[in-house]
Amino acid sequence: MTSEERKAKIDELGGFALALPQALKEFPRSMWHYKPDPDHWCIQEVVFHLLDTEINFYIRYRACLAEPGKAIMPFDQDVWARELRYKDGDVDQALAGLVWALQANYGLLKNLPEEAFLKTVTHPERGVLTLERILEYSLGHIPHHIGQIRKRHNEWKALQK
Amino acid sequence: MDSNERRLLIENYSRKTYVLTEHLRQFPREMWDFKPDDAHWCIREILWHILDIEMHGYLRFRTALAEPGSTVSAPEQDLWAKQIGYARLDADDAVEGIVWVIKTNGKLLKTLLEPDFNKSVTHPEYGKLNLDQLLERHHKHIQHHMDQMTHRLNEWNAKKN
Repeated sequence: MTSEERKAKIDELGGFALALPQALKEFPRSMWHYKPDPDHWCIQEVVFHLLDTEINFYIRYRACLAEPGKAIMPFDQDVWARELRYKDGDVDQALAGLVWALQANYGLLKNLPEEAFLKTVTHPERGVLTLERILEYSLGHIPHHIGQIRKRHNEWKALQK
Repeated sequence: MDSNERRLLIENYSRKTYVLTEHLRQFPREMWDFKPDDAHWCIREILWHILDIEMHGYLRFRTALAEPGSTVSAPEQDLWAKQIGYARLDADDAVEGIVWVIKTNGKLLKTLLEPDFNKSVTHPEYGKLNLDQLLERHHKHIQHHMDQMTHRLNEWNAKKN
């Protein structure tokens, strides 16, 4: 990855701090708890999942820098959603935390020297991950869940007809 | 710990958002970067350290609830301070993050049932810790560093005189 490409990716991450709350305004709050069946997440659950993932990234980025080579802890997303009762939480507080975490991660990454992006941590399932790879994973993860939110909204709209 | 002691501990932990921000008012901004020598942290570094430990706490509390028995991570605090460059980061961002994370953790803890507090994780240094013990450690940790800040202020005042 060239330094220009990396800079564009970091800016994209920072952009989500603004774009994500904006995108969520498209969806009426009255359907944030809608799920087509128990196996699929509602919008509120997706927001909590994005928050918990971004906080994991918060730790992973910093572990790469401070303790390169360290083993990181994965989490079981479906177990977290169920056991932590994402659907019953305070979604506005979650959204505020998600924006804060995105800004904090952006603030950290934008000031790093090029060589920092080659530092690694070890994920028990995915193996050795560079900081750059974690950033790329994060950039794929957020749009994936925005797509999931749109899908949920379309399913809900179809039911209203 | 009986349920009254636990309720009080959760209340005191949650109140740390207010107690810490009030505590900070006594420190003139001009001394937030003061450190007696390189081996000691300044106020700015202490704040970032509290934040990063509370972010670990965020994941530890939730891991205990969702995936009890899992191993959690612990940062090498001096490496984190040095390699992440706590001394160069915006202290207000750290305070904002601390307030959010303690508030969010406190809110989660208040919703839990008595048996939840027996759920545990394995800490790499301290071994098996249940949720009660995790909460006690995080609560004491914040107080410890608030005392450290006061100590720093006393050193700075002594140096001025």
